[in-house]
This record gives sequence, C-alpha cells and structure tokens, in this order.
Amino acid sequence: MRFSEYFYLAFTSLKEKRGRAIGAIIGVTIAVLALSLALGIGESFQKTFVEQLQRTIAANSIIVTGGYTGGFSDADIAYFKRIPGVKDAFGLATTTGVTITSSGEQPVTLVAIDPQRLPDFLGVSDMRQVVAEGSTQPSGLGVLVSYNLWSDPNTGQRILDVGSPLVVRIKSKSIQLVVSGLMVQSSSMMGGSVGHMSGAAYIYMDPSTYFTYVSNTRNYAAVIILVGDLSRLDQITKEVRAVAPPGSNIISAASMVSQFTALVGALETFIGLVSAVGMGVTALWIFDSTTISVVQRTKEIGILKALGYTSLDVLIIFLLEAIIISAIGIVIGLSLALILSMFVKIPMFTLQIGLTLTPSVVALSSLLPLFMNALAAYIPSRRGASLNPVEALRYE
Amino acid sequence: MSEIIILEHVSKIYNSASGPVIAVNDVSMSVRQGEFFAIVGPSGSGKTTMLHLIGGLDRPTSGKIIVAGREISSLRSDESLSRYRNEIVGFVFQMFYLVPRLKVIENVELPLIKKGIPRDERRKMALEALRMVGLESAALKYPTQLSGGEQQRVAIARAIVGRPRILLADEPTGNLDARNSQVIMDVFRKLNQEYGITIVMVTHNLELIWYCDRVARMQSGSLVDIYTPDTYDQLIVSFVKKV
Repeated sequence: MRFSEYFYLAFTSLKEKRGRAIGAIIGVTIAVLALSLALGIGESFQKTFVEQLQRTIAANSIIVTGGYTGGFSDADIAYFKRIPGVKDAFGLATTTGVTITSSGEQPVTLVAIDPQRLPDFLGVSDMRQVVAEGSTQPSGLGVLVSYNLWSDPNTGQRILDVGSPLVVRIKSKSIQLVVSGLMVQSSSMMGGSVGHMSGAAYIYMDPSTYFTYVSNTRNYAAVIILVGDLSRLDQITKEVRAVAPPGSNIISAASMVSQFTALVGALETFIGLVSAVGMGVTALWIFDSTTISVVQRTKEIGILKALGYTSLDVLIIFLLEAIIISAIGIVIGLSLALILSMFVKIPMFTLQIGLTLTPSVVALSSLLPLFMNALAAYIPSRRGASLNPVEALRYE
Repeated sequence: MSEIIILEHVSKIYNSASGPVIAVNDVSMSVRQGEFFAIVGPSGSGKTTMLHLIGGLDRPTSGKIIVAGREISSLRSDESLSRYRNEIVGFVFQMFYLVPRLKVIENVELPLIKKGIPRDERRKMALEALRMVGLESAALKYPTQLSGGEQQRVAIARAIVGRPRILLADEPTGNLDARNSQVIMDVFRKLNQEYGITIVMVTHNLELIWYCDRVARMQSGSLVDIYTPDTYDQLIVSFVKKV
C-alpha cells in the first residue's frame, strides 16, 4: 500500500470530523507559536546581549573591580602588567557629586580614564561616534559630558554648550570644570552606558586632573587589563585573580558571555517547559480525539481488516490523522511566528529584542509537538489496530 | 468439480466468564469450486463462526481448514491472514458495513487500495463491479443516499471487486424486505452462474435455500446434515419440527 493511499484514507476521516480536527489544529498552532516565540525571543535576547557585550567589553579585556582595600594603586596595575601575556593595563577612577545647572541640581558620576583608552571603554572605534560637538578627548579641566547633562531631561532644551563652565560639588569641595565635548544619546549598555545610561549623568575627565583636583590619592575603582594572547585568556584570568587584592571581582568578556549564555539557556529551558505544558494539553487533546475516533470507528476497523488491511495499516491510518493535524498546526504556527518576527520588538534596557527564527528554533518548534502528538495518538491507535476483526465487527 | 473449501474436524471453543463455549464442534465438510453453498441453522448454532473461520477472521481451536489449496488454519501472522482475506475471499455482512464518509465508488475501491492498484485502474474495476450489481449510476453517491437493498449491493460490489474466488455472505438479506432480498439473491445467482464465484452463505431464511446447490444444517455447533435440492423438503420439515 502506497503512502498516498494511507494519507487519502486518513484525510477523508479528518474531513468527516472536521470540527474536532480544526480544534486540535488550533491547539497545535498555539503550542507551536508559543514555543517558537519563547525560543526565538530567547535566541534574539542572547544574540543581542552577547553582541552588545562583546562590542562594549573587548574580547581581549579583563576588568578587575572592588577589593577589600577599596581600590587599586599604581603598584597593583604594575603587577597586572607584569603577568605574561598581558599587553597593557590601566586604571579607572570614579566618584559621585552634584552639578548645578539651569535645570537645577543633578547627581553626576565623574569618571577618570586615560583619554587614549576611552574609545575601548565606551565600546566604539572612534570617539566621533559618541561625541556630538566639541573635543573628542578630555584634557586638563576640559571634560566630556553625557547627553542628559547638557540637555534638559524634561524639555530637551540645551542647557550646556561647548565652553560652558560646569561646577561640580563633591562632598564639601567644589571644582570648576569646562565643557569641552558634548556626548550623544547612546544605545550602548555597558561601557557606553557609563556615560549614557538612562537617568544617569556622567562626566569624563583626564586622570591627571582628577587626581589633582578631585582625589589626592591615586586610587582606582577598576583596572582594565588588555590581553595580548587570547588563547591564554583563562590562564591570565587565573593569574590576575592570584595577584589581585582580596575581594576583587574579575570579569572577562569571555566569562561574562559564557555566564550570560548559561543564564539565557536556563531561561529558555524554563520558557520551553512552560510551552511544553501547552503542548502537553494539545497532546492530551489528540489522545482524547484519537480515542473517541477509534471507539466510533471500531466497526470500520473490523471492515478494513475483513477486506485485508493489516493491523499496521490501521495503525498508520490513525497515526497519520494526528500527524496531518500536527503538520497543519505546525505550518500555521510557524507562519504566524515568521510574520510576528517582522514586527515584534521588545524594548529592554536600551536594546530592542526581536524574534529570531533560527533553523534550530524552527526544528525544535516543529519536531517536538509532532513527536508528542504522534506519541499521544499512538496509544489509542495501537489499541484500535490490535482489535480482533470479529470483535470489532460485533462492537455496538 | 474440485473442492475449494475443506474442513477437517474443525472446532472452535471460546472462553467466557461462565466457562468454555463450544461454538463449532468437530465439523468436517467441503465446498466445491463454483458451488452456491448455504449454511442454515437457528441463532447460536455456530454458522457465523463457521463463516469467520473459513474467511480467516478467526482461527479454529483445533482441526484443519484448507481453502484454495492453502491450509489457512496454520496461518499465524497478521500479514498472511490479511493477504488471504484480501486476495481469496470477499465478505458480505448483514449490516452492509459501508463507510459512510466515503462515496459508493470509494467504498468499493477499499480492497483495491490495499492491493496497491493505481487509482485509474481501480476506478475502472470498481465501476465494473458496480455494473455487475446494477449500481453504476450510484457511484458518486454516499451510502446514506441509498436504500438498504442498494447498500447491500454496494457491499457485494466491494466484496467481488478484487475478484476473489469465494464470496462469504453472512445473513445478506437479514436486514432487507422481501423484494430487496430477491434482488440480492438474483445478484448472487448471477455472480455464481455467470462469473463462477463460489458462494458460501449463512442464513436462517429457508426461502433462500432454493437458490443454493447444497445446504448444510447446523445445530448447537455441530453439522447435522448436508442437503441437496432433492432433499430440501426434508430440511424444511426438520426445521418446522424444531420450531
């Protein structure tokens, strides 16, 4: 017997019970859509964040923060530089204060970093990408200010210009700086967000000025270590951990990506399990529908067997009904997911998370419901197929 | 005439909650090639079980059944029994058992689908079978659009479409009025006489025995006697006595 003949017999049965079949197709469609959305958004979430992370924290960098002693000295940085495979290391000093502008007082974070290292830190290749006007580097008392410091957050009006004086009060001390560059409103999250995270205002200044006017001790909140040989990243990370002051946090792009991937993977598994509940309900529906079908068509099973159909033939016909329902539901569900992928944009922090339908997402979203529904239909189908023809014909 | 069906000491015992039930008890008989053979007897006499055993729908508890030179009582696999049912025998039941969602022609095509015959060829064969029972014009109707007699003729067309050597009919007129019963019996006679199909029919309607070459009478699972037209009167008398 050819496959097309099995298909024909299964299809005629579905046509007869079209109400139940349509209900089951809707169930499969919802389950497939839910699963593909969960997996597709998870995939997009992971891809977007990893790309952003890799753009922001260079793959060849290790960031060391904290420590029980409250920071890092030049001597600590010198230690890091001596680790084999380390290309360079530089410190990052920060403090918080308040600025007074025409729109009132505003909390601000001062960040002191070597101007040559600023593009790496902000995750750009050229400072012109993040500077709207003025100088691209802080120098002397000249500083770069974030967008929400030179633009009124409520009205959007410009409140500072290049050359404007800027008074910053840090504890009891006031320092007068000069705005030398205005930074753009950025979408970056990590390093970039230090300057542009929504609601936070940042001032980037030269370290020598910072340690002259802001802090008397050369103490860095973080050290960024650049690795020359990426294949030794793990080994260098271990050595940095060994020489770093106690309590330091050591972060590398690779380890963050790995941790983030694991987190998203766990999240996807969780969402997938939630979707599996939906698929389970659909599978139960298929089980129920097939059981009813087998009971209602017991005599038909007897006739088919009397006409020479084997138990396997009967099993295939009933199983195919579930597979046809699943296949139609899968095609509709994935088509809807494809259409949604063109429009779905979920704002998260400053990023837009879309719906990415990779081959693995499509494969998992189609094969899993197909397998579950076939399994659900197999049990009653097997029971129907194994009926004795005489008993089936006598069934009332 | 050669013997196409041979039963040798065939018994069938069912296990029920109240103990074993002997449905067929040590029956030995034969049916000749091209014969119109009937099995009569009261309800529960084992005649339908006999038909199921000959048709390979059930297996005997003991004894030997040889059909068309093949010992079917030794067939064990689902595959070999199914092939036997598909190629050697055709069934007609009292309740017609047509598939209501399929058109008449699609119902008739069912055994041919199993045989793997291509669509065009099987459509031709199905139309020919319908023509043999005089229902070619009803090919595209659904079974529910037909009368009981017409539905039984469709069931006969389905039984003969695969050109089986034996037609097994279980109370084929049991659900029909006198006029339709006669139409069905005329169709059987035509199939038997013109196309040489061997027919084994189970019935409790003694009016039908006049269509048959020989009649076996069963009682409580046992074969009582086999009658020919010359002795049908004795058969009728024995039935009347029982009643």
